[in-house]
Amino acid sequence: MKYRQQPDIPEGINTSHTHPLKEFAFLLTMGLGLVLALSLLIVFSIDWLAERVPYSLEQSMVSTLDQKFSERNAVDDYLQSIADKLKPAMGLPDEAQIRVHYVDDETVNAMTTLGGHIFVYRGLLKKLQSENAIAMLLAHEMAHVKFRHPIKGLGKGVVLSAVFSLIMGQASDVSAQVISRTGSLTLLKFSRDQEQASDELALKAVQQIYHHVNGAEDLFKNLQDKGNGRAEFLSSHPDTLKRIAYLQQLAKQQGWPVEGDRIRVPENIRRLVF
Amino acid sequence: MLVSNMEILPGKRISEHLGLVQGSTVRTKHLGRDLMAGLKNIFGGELKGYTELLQEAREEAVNRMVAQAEAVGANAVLNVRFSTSSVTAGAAELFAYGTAVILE
Amino acid sequence: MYDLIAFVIFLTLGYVFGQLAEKKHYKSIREREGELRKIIAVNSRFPPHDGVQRAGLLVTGSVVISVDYFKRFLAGLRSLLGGRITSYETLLDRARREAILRMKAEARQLGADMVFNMKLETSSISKNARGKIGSVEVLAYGTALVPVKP
Repeated sequence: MKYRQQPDIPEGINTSHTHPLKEFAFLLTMGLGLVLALSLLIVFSIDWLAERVPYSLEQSMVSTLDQKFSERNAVDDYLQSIADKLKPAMGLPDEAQIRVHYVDDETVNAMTTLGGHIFVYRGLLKKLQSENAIAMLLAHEMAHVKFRHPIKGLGKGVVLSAVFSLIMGQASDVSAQVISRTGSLTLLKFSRDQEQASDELALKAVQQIYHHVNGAEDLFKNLQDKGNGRAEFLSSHPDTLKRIAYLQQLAKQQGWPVEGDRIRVPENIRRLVF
Repeated sequence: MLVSNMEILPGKRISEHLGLVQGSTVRTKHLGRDLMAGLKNIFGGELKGYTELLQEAREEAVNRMVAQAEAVGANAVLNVRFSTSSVTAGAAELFAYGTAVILE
Repeated sequence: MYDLIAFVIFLTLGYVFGQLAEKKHYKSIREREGELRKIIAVNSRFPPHDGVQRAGLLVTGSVVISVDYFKRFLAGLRSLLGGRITSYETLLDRARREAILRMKAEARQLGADMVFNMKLETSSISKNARGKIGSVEVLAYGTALVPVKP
């Protein structure tokens, strides 16, 4: 029995020969592809399901909102009256309720939540000079209700965050970040598409009620100086200039008159808001 | 190639010792398997995906160890030891090592 | 946006410096393996019967090596798709060989010509909160046999 010096063991038995960059390219394409496919699958199936949720169920989910905002003032009623005027032109089904609430806050924003509740902040409202611009805003928010965007958004948010947290439990921190980023960028793309579809329907409804689209752009012109300077692919809304250009093009295409009388906001409302 | 975890084989004489040889690999299952295993964790029982994972990894580690033994000109690996460690979540790292010898 | 840029920078830095460090380490491992080849290390338990009197002493060698940002990212992606995590293979290979070399170096200092009953332990330390690996520790230990002059 002899103990001999060990001969040289060749390299590469316990390691692989693939070049790290090649591996990187392969994994990144496959990984992102997988996440993209998964998010698309989820998005489409949630949208499909959300469209089948009856409005009454959606309303009962947020029934507390009705009680919470039961006190209404003149501005609430004014906004509600414009919404009611727009409703037939929006093609909203009868069972879809629209409730507009005025929020006395300086935030420049408006939003739509479940059950057809629309919140308009004073900050935004005081920038809109005419009823036409307010109508455009309300029509835009009502289009979200018609397209079921709030409930779709809720469903997507819940399911996607559950799925991504499951995936992230498996992946390391760094790749988890990449995954969630791909997921959220995909969602943002859908969000921008939703905004555009709503803009389109809103303009159509405004044209139907007022027989011209003058004043509708005011909504976006006011948003323009609020721009946050983020790249478009990172934000939930399309670029404001693009939105204006798109609507102008749409009006031109459809032959909608861009000139017409703007209706002044009534004096008692102006006093409350401005 | 003879692979054994005994140090002395009955009826065989070791003519030369050629030092330590080792084989190791890190493997992981795809996400679907990980999620299934996560579900299975609720009910208990065998995690088939992971049994398979460890089995495959162990085979590969042994193959690599044998490849090293062949490279040094041995015809047997004795006193083989396995060790498992988890280097990253959901992945298995299998390590096999033993003494490469020439049997008469 | 900024963290995206930071991410790409970290990835590039991790790749460049990780590859450089790995090449350098492998070169040094091969050199020292050549030098220490004459010290025989096996995991047999029984010392040789060659008529030389030897004293036994425990020797150990351990090392902690971390994987770079780039490779950690690769491993994370790989764990989604399944298969061999090639980026950790070199890490473990380097760590084991380094630990054995350090053990052999200790044995040489003691004047030993052999290490018997050698064992290797691997553990992953410095895990962060989410249980992901940052680095790996390998410990090699065995009994060094030092020839005793009668």
